[in-house]
Amino acid sequence: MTKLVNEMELKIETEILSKNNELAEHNRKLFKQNNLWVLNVVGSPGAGKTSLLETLIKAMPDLKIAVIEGDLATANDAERIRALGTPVIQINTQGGCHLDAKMIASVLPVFDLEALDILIIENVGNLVCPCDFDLGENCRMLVLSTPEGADKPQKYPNAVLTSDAVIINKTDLLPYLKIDIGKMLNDINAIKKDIPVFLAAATEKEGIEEICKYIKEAKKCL
Amino acid sequence: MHEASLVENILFIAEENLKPYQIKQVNSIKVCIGRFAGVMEDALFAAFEAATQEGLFKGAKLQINKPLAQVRCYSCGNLDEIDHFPYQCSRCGSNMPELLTGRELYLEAVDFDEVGE
Repeated sequence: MTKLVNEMELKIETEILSKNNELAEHNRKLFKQNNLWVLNVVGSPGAGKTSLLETLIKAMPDLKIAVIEGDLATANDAERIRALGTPVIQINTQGGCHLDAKMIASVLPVFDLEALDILIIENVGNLVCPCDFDLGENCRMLVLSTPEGADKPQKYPNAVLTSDAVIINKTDLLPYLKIDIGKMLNDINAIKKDIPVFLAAATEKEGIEEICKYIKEAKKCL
Repeated sequence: MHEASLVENILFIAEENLKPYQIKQVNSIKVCIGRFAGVMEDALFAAFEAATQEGLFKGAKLQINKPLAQVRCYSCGNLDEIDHFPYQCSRCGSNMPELLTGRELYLEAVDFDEVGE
């Protein structure tokens, strides 16, 4: 018997990242059960994410903080955080450009979530890919730095759009740079109106108080 | 560059949905990618081609639907459609948009030939 061939179109209408989104929701539920506030820190390599974390951890000794570090290779960042006596785990993505919800879920058993107040996830240094992957966090913080140039918000609007707050780090270097910080602030506002923006110099502990206040207020709203 | 993992997810979802069918050939996979979804079209095509050299999806074409993003002007409420930033309102000239759509990232449909009885 001859076999007939039918051409057909099957409607699917499914989110491409639905698997990640489901896992992120699962993480979020687990965080909520443990009254844990979770911060996802994204930004370019070298923007000062780890330095910012070190300064924030020292500035909030009243809170129990743990850290997940994401990098392609090495445990350098985790060692810096561990030196502060803070529980930390390093995820090496072996070439992967971002952390996803599954990677986070797989390391959570390492921590005593109930005993923690805040979990900080430092994403892989990258202004593109991490933006698309929900990890189940409460707040996504974008760290830009002055030497990267004032045009980064315009070049990477998605990074601003998907964040809840922006930090412009390394303001101590402004006297040596030809960048228009006012334009940078306007550009950020033009992409996402009213997003909180903090100017900071993490290694000099400048602007840190405001960021701690923002984190503590946000945590209160859990 | 996370286009390879997007392709992996696209093919996984497509395969799950095709399970009840007897497939002769998958002709095309249609995806919807918003202008602000952060996806590089060329990289997505390249990753798709690399992933469909053999198996169920061998020879399938990737079709990308790229709708314009809808924005509402914060100053005057005017609705516009844009494909990039910076934005300027076509009515009042303000540059403050509220992005209503533009981050779409979903698998729309699969077109295939089914072997009948």
